[in-house]
Amino acid sequence: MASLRLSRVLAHAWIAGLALLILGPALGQGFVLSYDLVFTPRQDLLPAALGLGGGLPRAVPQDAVVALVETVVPGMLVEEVMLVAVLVVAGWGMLRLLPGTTAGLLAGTFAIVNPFVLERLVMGHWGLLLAYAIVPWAIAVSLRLRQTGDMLDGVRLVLLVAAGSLTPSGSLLVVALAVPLVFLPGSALSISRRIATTAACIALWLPWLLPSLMHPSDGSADALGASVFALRSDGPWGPIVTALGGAGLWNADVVPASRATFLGLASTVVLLGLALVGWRSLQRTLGTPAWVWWLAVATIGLVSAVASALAPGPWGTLIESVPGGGILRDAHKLLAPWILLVCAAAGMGGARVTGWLRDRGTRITAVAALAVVAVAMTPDALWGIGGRLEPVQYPGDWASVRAIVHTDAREGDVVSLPWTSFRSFDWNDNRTVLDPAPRWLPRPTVVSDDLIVATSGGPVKVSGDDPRARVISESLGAPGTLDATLTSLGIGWALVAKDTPGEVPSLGDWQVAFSGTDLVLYVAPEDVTPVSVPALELGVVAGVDAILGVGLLLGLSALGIRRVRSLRSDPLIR
Amino acid sequence: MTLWIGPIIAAVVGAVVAAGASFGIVSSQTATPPTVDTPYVVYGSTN
Repeated sequence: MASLRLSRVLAHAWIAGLALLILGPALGQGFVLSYDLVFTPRQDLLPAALGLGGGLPRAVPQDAVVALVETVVPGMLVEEVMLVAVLVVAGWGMLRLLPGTTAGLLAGTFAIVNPFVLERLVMGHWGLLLAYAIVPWAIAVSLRLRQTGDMLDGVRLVLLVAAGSLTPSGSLLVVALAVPLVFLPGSALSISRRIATTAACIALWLPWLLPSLMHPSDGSADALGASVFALRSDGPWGPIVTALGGAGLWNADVVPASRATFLGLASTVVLLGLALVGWRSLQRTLGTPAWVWWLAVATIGLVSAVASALAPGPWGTLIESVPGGGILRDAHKLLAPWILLVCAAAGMGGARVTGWLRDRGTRITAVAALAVVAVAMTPDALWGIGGRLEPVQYPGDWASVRAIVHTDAREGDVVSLPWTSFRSFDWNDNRTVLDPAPRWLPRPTVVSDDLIVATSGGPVKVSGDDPRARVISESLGAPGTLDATLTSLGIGWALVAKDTPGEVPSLGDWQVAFSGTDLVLYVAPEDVTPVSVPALELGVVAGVDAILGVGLLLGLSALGIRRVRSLRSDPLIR
Repeated sequence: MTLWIGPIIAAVVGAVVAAGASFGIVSSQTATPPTVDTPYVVYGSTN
């Protein structure tokens, strides 16, 4: 028994150590700013964080949760905890889901050292990765709920779904894989409880679904965006093999270099080989209904992702015609159920293969070697993913500008210039990063939301969906009209970042409110009437979010009370 | 037997990393290239 406990502790320690080894310098002093990964010392709870900004609610309720947490925890700490969490939670989840320490340890290792996770980490999609990490936990609770019918497990499931629902795509992932299990044949839950559990989980979509319905655009994506963000082969072996290994993110700049070498192919072959060996063991562990469901969802995702690469035309038409199709345009995301399934099966396969060894010492050696080889086959995964994730300090100008915008009585929202979505600051080693201004400033900040992607045919612009940004883009085409356009849109401030590519247009007679080494802040010469979110919209969304938040806190309290009672009834404690 | 674990793992890792280094894949990739001469910053590249 003591040996079993020690092996479990060591397995958990291995996963945690591996997470620290992958992140390495990223956990130092400062902020990691990489593509969509943007944290600031203190983000404010603005309408955009509730999905009531100009664009589609893509980081909702993620931004609202971050803003609330940062009222008590510094942003730098929040970022570091989340980066560690997405890896550790995924690895430990496999240890919870699968029987036996060996299977869990190997599956956990595969689940955090794979191209899906590494590429998404560099892209900064931590909300999606948190959902990915929670899936094994949610499936484990769903399976127990099917067996016991204990509604506290239903509460646990809802809380897990909530934790994975920081972004629309994340919430769809967790719900699609875990919630239907309570409905499948063999469930001990009554029909009414199945419906109640499902309804509670679906209700967690409301924070992003409501603003989507209220948004002026229809939430669909254009075919161009679908083709640009289609699955991309990471080697000469084509999109199918790429997708089978969980790779294929559209952005070549974030793909670990090893993926294009023989190591990329070798790691995919090893992973799939072990998964084939462990396929039946996983079926026995999950039970046939749950196994079939997971396989079905994973296959649909896999086929869809591959279709985006092999048939971009029809795929683009499909994405364009489906309301809310924008969620699906980044086709690589659809591989999440597949890679999780393969990792779980490979863990079971690894346990089976090493179990053939009779000598205990040899068996331990083989398990350790297998885990290490899995890591070594992506050597550029380690230490900040090959140096891609490194913390930096924001120049002091950012805090100065925030303080002015916070205290100055002159009204108006802010526009961020140069008019490009992404920044490349020299103090951030010229890494591409989303404009940090909306998360720094305590007022609604309008930024360009057009995405420019380099393709073999030249740069391609994927148009954004913020109406105010669209008007500003049109105004830039008519020189001399920008200042008047901005004030007509309720914008009274302009923040100009100096050391990043992009032309800064003339702001007419706007006055300089701050001029520093890195930033210049301008203010409109006349009073501006700010654009406010309709009270009804704000009230409905904030009210629904608050009700859901209170409900989740009550659920958490119920679990806490049950825990205390079970401890009190323990004769060893009493 | 457990005395063998360390050397075996070290040998495996050493071999793989050395192979990776020979292909030039084990190197620090600290940043995307500076784009100060371009009028915009690209989100990424599909090339």
